[in-house]
Amino acid sequence: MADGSSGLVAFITSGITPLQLERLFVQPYAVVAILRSLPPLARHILLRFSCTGGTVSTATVSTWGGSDGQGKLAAALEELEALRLLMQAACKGQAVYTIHASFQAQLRHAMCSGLLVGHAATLPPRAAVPDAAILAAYARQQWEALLLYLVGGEGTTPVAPPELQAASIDIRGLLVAAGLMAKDERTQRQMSAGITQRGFQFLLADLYSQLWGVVRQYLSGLEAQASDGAGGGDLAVAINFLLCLGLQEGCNVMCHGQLGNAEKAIAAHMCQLGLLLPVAGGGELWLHPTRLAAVLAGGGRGGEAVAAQEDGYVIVESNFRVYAYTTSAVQVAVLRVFVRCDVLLPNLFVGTITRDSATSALGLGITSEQMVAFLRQHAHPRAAARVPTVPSVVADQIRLWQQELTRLQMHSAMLYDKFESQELYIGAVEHARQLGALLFRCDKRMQLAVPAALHGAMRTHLQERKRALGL
Amino acid sequence: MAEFADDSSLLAILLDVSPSAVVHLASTPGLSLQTLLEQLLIFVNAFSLLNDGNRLAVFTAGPSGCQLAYCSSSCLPPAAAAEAAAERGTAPSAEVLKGLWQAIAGTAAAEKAGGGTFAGTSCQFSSALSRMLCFINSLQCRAAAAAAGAELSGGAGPSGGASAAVRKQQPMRLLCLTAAPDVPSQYIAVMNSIFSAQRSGVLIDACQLGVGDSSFLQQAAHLTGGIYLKPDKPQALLQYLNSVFSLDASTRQYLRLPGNTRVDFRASCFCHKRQIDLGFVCSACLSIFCEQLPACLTCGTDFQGGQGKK
Repeated sequence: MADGSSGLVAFITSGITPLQLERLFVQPYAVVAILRSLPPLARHILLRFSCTGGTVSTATVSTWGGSDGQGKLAAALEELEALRLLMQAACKGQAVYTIHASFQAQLRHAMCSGLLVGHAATLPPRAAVPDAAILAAYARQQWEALLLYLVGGEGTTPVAPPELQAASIDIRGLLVAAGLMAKDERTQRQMSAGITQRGFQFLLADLYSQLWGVVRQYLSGLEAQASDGAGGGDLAVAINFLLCLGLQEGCNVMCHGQLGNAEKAIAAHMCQLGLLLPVAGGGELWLHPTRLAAVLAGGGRGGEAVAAQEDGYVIVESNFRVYAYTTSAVQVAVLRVFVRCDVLLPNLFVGTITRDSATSALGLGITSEQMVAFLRQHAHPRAAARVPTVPSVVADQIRLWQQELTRLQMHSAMLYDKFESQELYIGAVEHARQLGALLFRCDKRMQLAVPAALHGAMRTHLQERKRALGL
Repeated sequence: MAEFADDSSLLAILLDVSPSAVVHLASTPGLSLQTLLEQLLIFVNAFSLLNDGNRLAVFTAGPSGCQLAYCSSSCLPPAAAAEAAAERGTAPSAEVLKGLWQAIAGTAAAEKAGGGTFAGTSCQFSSALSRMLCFINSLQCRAAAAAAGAELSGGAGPSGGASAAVRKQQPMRLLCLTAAPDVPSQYIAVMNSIFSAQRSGVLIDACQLGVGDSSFLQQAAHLTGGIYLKPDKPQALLQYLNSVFSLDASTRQYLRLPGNTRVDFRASCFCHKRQIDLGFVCSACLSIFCEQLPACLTCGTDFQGGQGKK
């Protein structure tokens, strides 16, 4: 869930149907966001294709790679094919790559017209332009409320600002449907739900993955509504609208009154999640995208950089001590998942990574890589300047604790006993040894064991031997 | 996440708008100042599409000096950026175009005022180069100061800090689009700029549209690890820009790109600013002269007795 398995690219490869994908490639903002969420080399391949007639021969494309870049080039081409952005075809007797026609058209349009300027036809009055700090605080408040609800299971979910007068989304339902929370079986209370294994992994993931995890579930909810005929718009249009929020720098303020009905509903829900901030001014309601919206469309890299710059608060020492300068209940709750809390001061969390705390987190399905990545991503600026950010003794030990859990390996094997004669037994042992498959032997009891996969070979050998010995 | 390492960069483009360059562009089939600008603007858009962290600055260089035509709002000081964001509302390409036309008109006006003295003259390449390096340096200083300030005002963590300097810098590139021939008299200044670019880790890419190769640009690209390209088909400039010059430094290692096949390393002499194949070098300060002198013109070392090393 943490490394790239969530996000826009994962969503369009696994989350939507080919027909919806076709529709998505006609949406300008979606096209740009898809471009940005690809690895650098894949982006440059698309850029090279964008100004061609649409087809380039496979031979030409393979000459693009340098001496040490062939592997990377092949991987990038494969990824583009998986996304249906590039297709292999035959044209005039030679193999060619063809770029998706409408994707190319949108990309060209974006390049020629400068897409990243949107409906800033009407600018809000000065009074309706919030301070950057207010925007950031609102985004943090709404998102942390969601995470806190996820951790606590009870408490309040983030609420939509009342001035939008729209039905709010059922946060609890959303989280349960995403598999992050499950209904608590023991208490049987209607409103109670507990965090699941995936929920814990979700907490440790970076902001980009978290956002996409929630938005993905939200979009599939929209789709279900649309197929029920209960309103709801086209999925591709909804995705385009969401990505549009984050893609326009500076001049991306929207006037609530000018949006369509479907967009109004989505906008209200995004206000609830903290992606938009509504501000009243000049008799109108203006919607300002926050940092979260930019992270959603930013393709993962920008998002991580933002997170590293703003939220660094963790210092890990080589004696397994963890200091976290934070006042946020969510951040403390996340740390408590795998760090034993020693002292909790108003602005400081002091804890220790112990064997017990780490193994309990491993038991929740969190991997050692995720723990170390979390500590690294949220490192305090002063700790982030060190190399390595997380002392290698700590990172290695967490990995060792994980390996300890998998010290025993189970393989199915076949045990042979009750041999009819000593000779048959010795022959079978010899044969097993020749196969390199002798796992166990006991001469006294005339028993031997081989891996289950080699049972067939052993059986034919034994049958032949028995026939030869006349048994 | 190595695959998704941040590949954003800061790109400063230098466009040569000197009269000789404009005249040359007009005489190139399929290319004129107009089409050059169109292709450049598409490249500017493509560059900002690639990564939301990409930052851009466009400079023009003429015989009267170098001007900033456009820069991304993230390149401005915070106060000015807020103001610009409030006033702006057009595409970056439109802003670039506006700035470029202003600069070109300014050059033409200066030419007229100067009674046509600029006709046939090249741009002030050395001053443009140093202006751009100063611009990049000021951005870096501001970023470092902001990082240090954020740490101080953060307050929660332990005080003191050397971490700001350690934070990874955004890779920086210069792209020179020139069509005017080299001016040997600028040799020393240009080389000094190139060395300072090399030292501050700025890549210099060059696209030479004029007649013949540019020794300055070849050396600049060679020394800083950039790419020097003299397009075979200048009318297809956009394709060169998109497929070669849009690449960031880290992605370049995976692709096969036009290399600096033959670099003209010839120096200009310090005495007459002539480009020379063979010359005399001062044994003390390494100044280059085209003829044997009794004493070094730069440091005054006495060469009497034929001690000037050939």
